[in-house]
Amino acid sequence: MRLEAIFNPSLQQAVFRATLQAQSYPGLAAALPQAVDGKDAHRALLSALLDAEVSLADPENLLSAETDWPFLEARRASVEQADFILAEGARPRLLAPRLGTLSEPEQSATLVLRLADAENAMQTRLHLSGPGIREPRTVAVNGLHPEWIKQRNDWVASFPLGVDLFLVGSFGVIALPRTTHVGVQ
Amino acid sequence: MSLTHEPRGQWPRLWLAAPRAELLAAGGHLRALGKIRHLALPQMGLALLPLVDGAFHESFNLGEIPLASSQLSIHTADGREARGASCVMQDDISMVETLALADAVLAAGWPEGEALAVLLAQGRAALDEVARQRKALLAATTVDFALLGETEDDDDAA
Repeated sequence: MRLEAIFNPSLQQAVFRATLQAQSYPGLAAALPQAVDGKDAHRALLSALLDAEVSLADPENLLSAETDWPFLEARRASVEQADFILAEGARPRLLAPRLGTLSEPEQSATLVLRLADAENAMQTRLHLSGPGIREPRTVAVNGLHPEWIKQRNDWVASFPLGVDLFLVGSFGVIALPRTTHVGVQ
Repeated sequence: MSLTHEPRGQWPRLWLAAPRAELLAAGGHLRALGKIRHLALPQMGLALLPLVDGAFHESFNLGEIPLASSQLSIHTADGREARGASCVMQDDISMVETLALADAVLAAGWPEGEALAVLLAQGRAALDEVARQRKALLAATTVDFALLGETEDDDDAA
């Protein structure tokens, strides 16, 4: 009668620690614990971030009704209402996530993009600058459609409104907070 | 076929009143019946107890209570399936899983539930004994206020 490892509190804490590291250094991949299988990286991240107090939208049904939702405990919500949104990085979708308000910018959505591990996956080069980045840097990300970055830049155009973005895959997790300037090369 | 007449909502209370060693032994046997799968995240820890005050009808937290909950299913090799759950005021995840498993097996009416029904009866007997003792204590402290009136009359007369 064992729970899947990603729902184990000690592993969740290790994943959360990696997430903090990623947010401290936007654009740098923070490795997830070895116990996390690469194909389950997005599930491990959600397991560390979600609880019964928040809501999640999964418009592409990337999560299982039997093995994910009951253990994440988050409420199901529409993309427009959700605190967290999970989507596939290679398939851009037109979304209208919550951007927060001037008085409560934290009432915005966090977007989690699952990046495929395929060798022939599309590679997108991102030019990054902003808080947490000492020198502007360029990172290459596999499995991310550039349309996502275009949408994201529209969402964060009116700071402090916007969304925070996580890219997650077998490489680990990359954070792109709304304060980061992101250009596609 | 129902193995007990006790309402299902009372089962955890009765099992917890039964001999602990026998309950844990029964839980061990149940775990060997088949494959067990969690249906929700098992929880253990402190939980806030929210209440609404009677004057202003505003909610407030009375305090924290230890709480453990489990919801699971069991699948046997011969194709049987049963689901059960339990939520008790204890921070003992192993015990609450045993109770959830027992709940599943007894509610499904499986033959393996007979031992669990016996434990329910033992728990009921234990709780009845506690109730009897408390009733006896209460009876021993009963005050006859009729005598108080007679004493006052005596004082007045003096």
